[in-house]
Amino acid sequence: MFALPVRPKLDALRHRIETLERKGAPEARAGSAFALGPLTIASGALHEIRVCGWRDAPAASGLALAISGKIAARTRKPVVFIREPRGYISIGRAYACGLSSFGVDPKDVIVVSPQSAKEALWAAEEAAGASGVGVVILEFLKPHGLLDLTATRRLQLAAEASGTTPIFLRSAGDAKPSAARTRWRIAAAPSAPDSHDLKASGNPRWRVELEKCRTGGRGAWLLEWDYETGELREAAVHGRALPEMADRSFEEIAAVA
Amino acid sequence: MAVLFPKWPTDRLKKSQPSLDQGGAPLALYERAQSALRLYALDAAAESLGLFPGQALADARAICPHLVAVEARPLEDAKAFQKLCARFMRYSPAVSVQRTGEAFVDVTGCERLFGGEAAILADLARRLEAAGFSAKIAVAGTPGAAFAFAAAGVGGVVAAPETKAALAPLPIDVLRIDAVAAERLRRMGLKRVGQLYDMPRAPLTARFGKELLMRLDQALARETEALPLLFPAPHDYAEMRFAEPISSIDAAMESARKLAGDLGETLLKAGKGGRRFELTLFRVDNQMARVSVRTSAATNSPAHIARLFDMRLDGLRSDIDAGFGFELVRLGAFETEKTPALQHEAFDRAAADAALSELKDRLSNRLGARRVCRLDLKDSHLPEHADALVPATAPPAAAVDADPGLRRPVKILSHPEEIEALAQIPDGPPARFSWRRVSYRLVRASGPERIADEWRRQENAKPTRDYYRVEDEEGRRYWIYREGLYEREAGTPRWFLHGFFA
Repeated sequence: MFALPVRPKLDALRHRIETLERKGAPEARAGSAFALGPLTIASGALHEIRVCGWRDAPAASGLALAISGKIAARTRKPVVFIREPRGYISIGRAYACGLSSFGVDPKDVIVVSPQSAKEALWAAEEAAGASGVGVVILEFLKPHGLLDLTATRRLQLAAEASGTTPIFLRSAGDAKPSAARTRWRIAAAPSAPDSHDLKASGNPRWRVELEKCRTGGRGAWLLEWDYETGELREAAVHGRALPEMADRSFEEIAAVA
Repeated sequence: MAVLFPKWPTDRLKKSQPSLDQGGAPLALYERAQSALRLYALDAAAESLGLFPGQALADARAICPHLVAVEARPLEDAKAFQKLCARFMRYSPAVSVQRTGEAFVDVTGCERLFGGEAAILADLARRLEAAGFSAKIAVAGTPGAAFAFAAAGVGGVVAAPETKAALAPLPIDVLRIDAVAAERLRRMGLKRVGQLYDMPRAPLTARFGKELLMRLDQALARETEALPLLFPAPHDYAEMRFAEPISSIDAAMESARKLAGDLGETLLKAGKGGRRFELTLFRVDNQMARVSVRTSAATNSPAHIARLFDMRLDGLRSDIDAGFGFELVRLGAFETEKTPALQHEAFDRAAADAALSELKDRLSNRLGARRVCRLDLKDSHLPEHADALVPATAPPAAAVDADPGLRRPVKILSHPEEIEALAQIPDGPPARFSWRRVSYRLVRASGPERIADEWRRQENAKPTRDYYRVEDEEGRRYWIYREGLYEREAGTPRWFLHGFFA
């Protein structure tokens, strides 16, 4: 009589709850995942990149741009950059001539300069909900009360409904909970040696750790952006790749790098 | 009908600051012109003392020690003037303002409502006098003639057939020609308008340009003159009348939504879209409030228009005064152009583009057009001029491609910041530098990449720069440069931080 196996029933229920939780967002639009070097990034979801200090913000921009470039190549949709409102340490603005090295065409970039956290958050939500946008980069390193669990959940829901990929750059010191699908930590690492000039700095390298992931999995990597091929890959230290890196921690990578 | 306010700046000031009007002290407004303070406008009392615009303020004070002098604010004058002229719409919707202090109202066809042109003139004169403005008003067949009669102080209503004869004895200045031309005419003995009637036209044009005869012809109705209207009437509009006036912003928003639906449908049927929309709220007491929104691409989507107005009206809650209520709400489309049919549903790509331009509009209308920009590459090899933030709603510029061979930072400081650098050899890269009071020890450097100022900027050319890509101990990468070539351009080199690499 009770011949139905328990497992499929349970799965079906789980699936139903999941759909209900997503407030009926169509299944097909709920993002697809793609590989970026050793990383797997889901589009149509909110990602958080946390920087160890404001001096690492350019590195975080680099990773965010690498993700944007990959998404832009697939969807041909523009990137919306939301700048931090004034009042925090300024390290300038996005530079058009530097974007193309990460596969982002400056023609497909919209730069929004809000005046307050409220405006920044509003603009991010509007952009994340617009189906014509590929990636929304919200740069907000200064910890702020408005950028809380509710705000990130709203961004996540907007992204699920429209298929955009918001990336939130925030400070690692900001301990507020977040509804982001994944949370990364990043710091700059000494660059790869230049094959022509020993003294020169070569391809940029970053220490990246996946701190949190909704679907499970953690890891830490030493990543290198190859300017020539336009690809992100795991850095080879002393001539060999380090596959076991994925099991190491952020701090251990620093020792190797 | 021409309405001239020869004393507009001083009248306005006296009205806004009644204390200036008491005691009858002469009032003068001054402006800064080439580092001197010169008189800009005078009231009647000051003028009667022999002061004149353009006179140095110090001279005027010497003549009249009790002169009250206030700095002129031409922009506020112009704004207040437009506001006043908007009230002339009680006589006719065709109101035109070309210069502050000069307004034209086309009352053709409207005079019957008021009992004749003379009645309109008398009514306006009475109202302006009660408000404390000195104005000269005249009604004539053409704007040019009305202006001439008003300026000459003839006033009254001059019928079209009498215009030519009535104009003849007036001084030449009343023809709206510039002061230099008028002075030259006077020197030639041409002092009255009538003297021009029988002059051969070709020599007049050769000597005084086309403007003189154009103005004369306009005054005599030989040439038509189209005046740009202060409030142009929209080609396409939808409106809603209320038997019972509405007074809440929410009700106005609701009606805007409804009107957006109607207007969108009208535009869609005509295959058109608007780039600017204006919502006019007419108050019971003849006042009105206007709210307009701009779009980056021509649109006729009701949802989009309604959403833009929702946002605007929400932000203006405290600024819109409903008074006794609005009895008419009108939504007009301006700058309309043809739009391809079925833009929204035809293709995914088109839908995405539409969604994007709608997003730009929402962001620009709420945050301001200058805060929502795109990045345009410019044809310049100076790093700070190689790109520019341009409002996203601005028309696209000529495409310039980035040079992929150049290694450029992802972040750039809009103004390079000076750093203190210590170099091992004077013309090499630094070994450490300090920026914003923090010291950085550099372990790697590549360069220099020499960037000289553009040859076409011969004057105030900037010194040549040597750019280095440097990296500190922790792997953070910076873009720094030395200003001036060693031993050739600069004695002591100065170093600057310009950007950050990823």
